[in-house]
Amino acid sequence: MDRVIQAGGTRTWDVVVIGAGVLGTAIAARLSHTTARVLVLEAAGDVAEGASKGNAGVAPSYYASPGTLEARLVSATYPRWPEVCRALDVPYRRLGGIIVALDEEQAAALPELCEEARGCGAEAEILDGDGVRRLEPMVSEAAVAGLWMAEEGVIDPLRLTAAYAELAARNGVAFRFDSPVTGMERDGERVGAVVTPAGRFEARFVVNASGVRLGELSALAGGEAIAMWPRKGEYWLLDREFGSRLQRIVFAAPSRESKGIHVVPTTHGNALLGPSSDDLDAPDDTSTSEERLGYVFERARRLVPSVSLDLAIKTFAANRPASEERTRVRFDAGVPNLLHVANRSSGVGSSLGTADYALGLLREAGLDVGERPSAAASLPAVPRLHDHPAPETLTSIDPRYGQVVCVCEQVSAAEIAAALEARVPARTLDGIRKRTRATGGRCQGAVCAAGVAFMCSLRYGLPPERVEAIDHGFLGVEP
Amino acid sequence: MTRVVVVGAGLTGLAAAGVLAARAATLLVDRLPAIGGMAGWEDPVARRLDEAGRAAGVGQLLGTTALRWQPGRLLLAAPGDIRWLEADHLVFAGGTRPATPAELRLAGDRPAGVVPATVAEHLLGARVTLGRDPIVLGVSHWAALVAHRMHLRGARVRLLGLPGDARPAWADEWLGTATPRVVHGRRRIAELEVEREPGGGRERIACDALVIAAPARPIRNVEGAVFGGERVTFIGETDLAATAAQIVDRAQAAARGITLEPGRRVA
Repeated sequence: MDRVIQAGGTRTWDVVVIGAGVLGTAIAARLSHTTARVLVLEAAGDVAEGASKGNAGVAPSYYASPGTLEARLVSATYPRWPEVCRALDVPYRRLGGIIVALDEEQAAALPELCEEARGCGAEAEILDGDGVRRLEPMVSEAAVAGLWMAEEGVIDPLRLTAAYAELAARNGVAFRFDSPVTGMERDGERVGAVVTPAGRFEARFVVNASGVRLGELSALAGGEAIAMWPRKGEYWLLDREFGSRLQRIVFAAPSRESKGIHVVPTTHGNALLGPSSDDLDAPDDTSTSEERLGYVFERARRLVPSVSLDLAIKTFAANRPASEERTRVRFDAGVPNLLHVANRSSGVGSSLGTADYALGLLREAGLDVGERPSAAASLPAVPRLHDHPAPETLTSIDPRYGQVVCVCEQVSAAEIAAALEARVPARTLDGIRKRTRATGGRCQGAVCAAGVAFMCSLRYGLPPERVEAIDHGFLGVEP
Repeated sequence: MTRVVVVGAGLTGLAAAGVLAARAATLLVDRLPAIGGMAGWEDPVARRLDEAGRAAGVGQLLGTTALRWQPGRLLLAAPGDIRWLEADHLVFAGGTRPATPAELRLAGDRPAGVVPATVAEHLLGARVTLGRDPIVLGVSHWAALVAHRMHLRGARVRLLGLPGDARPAWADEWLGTATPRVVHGRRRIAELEVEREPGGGRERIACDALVIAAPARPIRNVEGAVFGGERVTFIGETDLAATAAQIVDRAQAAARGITLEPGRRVA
């Protein structure tokens, strides 16, 4: 049942990447600019099925203490966003963010944060309460101070992951979806092959970018004992009616346990409230709870009192891969060709730096590949009806732009067709939503989900009941 | 003459356009290539309003989606044709849809099998079996339509009412009334957790599909006029018990109350 994109005739892959989340695909995209032969194995049916699809999309300029690997990777990433997002057709907005102090105790912690941010090379400035509200008038009157970071941005993490994968595939990287890794064959102290139900794949190097399953896969390879556990975050998504009035990312002051509940404008003008932070045992549990959603809302309201659940269009939860080590990009202590790559919460925001860093480590360990200047560095942009400055010109590119399928998000049949025809195409309704936003607006598909399902059904020659709404969740049942 | 665009050619839009035509150049736009909206193009009330409106000078642009309003012009899209139309006033009569899980404050999983009745109706029309053991939530015209289609396919209809709903004749099994709270099921819905009384105990109802058919929420999807706006009037009916005559009366009264400002050219 595995879905294969350009498997090729290779007997031994230079690198097998396990996991098509934002880090696995970023590494695949970076490797696609070299002469390496690369295979990506993904247990789910699409890219971005774990933490990469359930985060706030913050592209930070400062996230960790100076000198740490995490800080280094974030610093190597954020200055590149404007250029990379333009090249990869990924929505990105540099809005700036404010860490808001709601009392004197929180305010007293700001100078140290400011020093840290500057130590990371980020712009940072302490403001008084009025200064905070001048930059973001929706912040609470209770705010006494804030740390303004002008280079903070937001990015669409779904489009980013899909774009990394698409670029990699166009440059020849092979992908196998629905391919959970069930074993790793050792060849002496190294991993010789990665085993899935569809077969075994010989590899010179293995990148373990499996998110919350990183420890499990390390154990399969006979590698280090790595404790990873899911840390669940729950979110509210609010309508553009609210989000479009919000001009900055509004961060809560961090506590010892967590970075807190934030109010984040999205690249599409919505606003996200969240995340909560609860450690779990079961990685597949992405359910929301009334209690935690209530908590998220109350916390968000302290920062921005005008948030309103009347404008809620969706709630969701996702699990970040938590471990004692917030960021891990290094070879296994016992298995010298197994590179572990995990990041608890700045995976999106460090992805470009992580990919370069991982390639450097692979080369040091003997991956003898050269750069390939002929590889594509950009993707053809798909014009978006909703964002286009001259929408009336689009039907001359493709008459299907006039056929608006999702009215809330103004997504046309041309854009959905592009998602269905990509090299790493959407296969489910959720996959179409990730790439186009269709069904993701305020009516959540009440008007358009049937139409989107029929397009999917036609593309894959499936009866509509066999179209998947979510990964492995079908629209209908056998009659 | 002032130019008015009415978006939505259901009973509400047809009735409003007929009234407005006496005072303004009135154009009726609908996403579907036929008048009638939820009532359907064969509905006698819709047909009567349509004929009267056209006799009064209402123009029609069907099969066209209204996308974006900027005071003075409206962006319209039809296959092969996207264009701006100059207009002085927008009347939005886009109808209603069932509430979303977020609007119902449903927590829990987000599995397959939870579908709005508007989607269920189309899927049933394409012969999709929604589930072996589906629940329809809420009493409404959507619920009745879904039940009708399920009956045509030989399926039984289990209906869960929302507080205040009464059992309709077409329900094969009446699960009583309750407030839905939590969806359980990873890939496909397996149970709906409900509360019979406010703050009371919880009960889980097994099911493999949940068709959400109520309450109704207004459709709001013209950018720039989502929650009103300059030179925008919303006419909507979220009362699921309203009769056709009530819908028409209320729409006509609302249309008479609209203040139209004289034409203003776009720079």
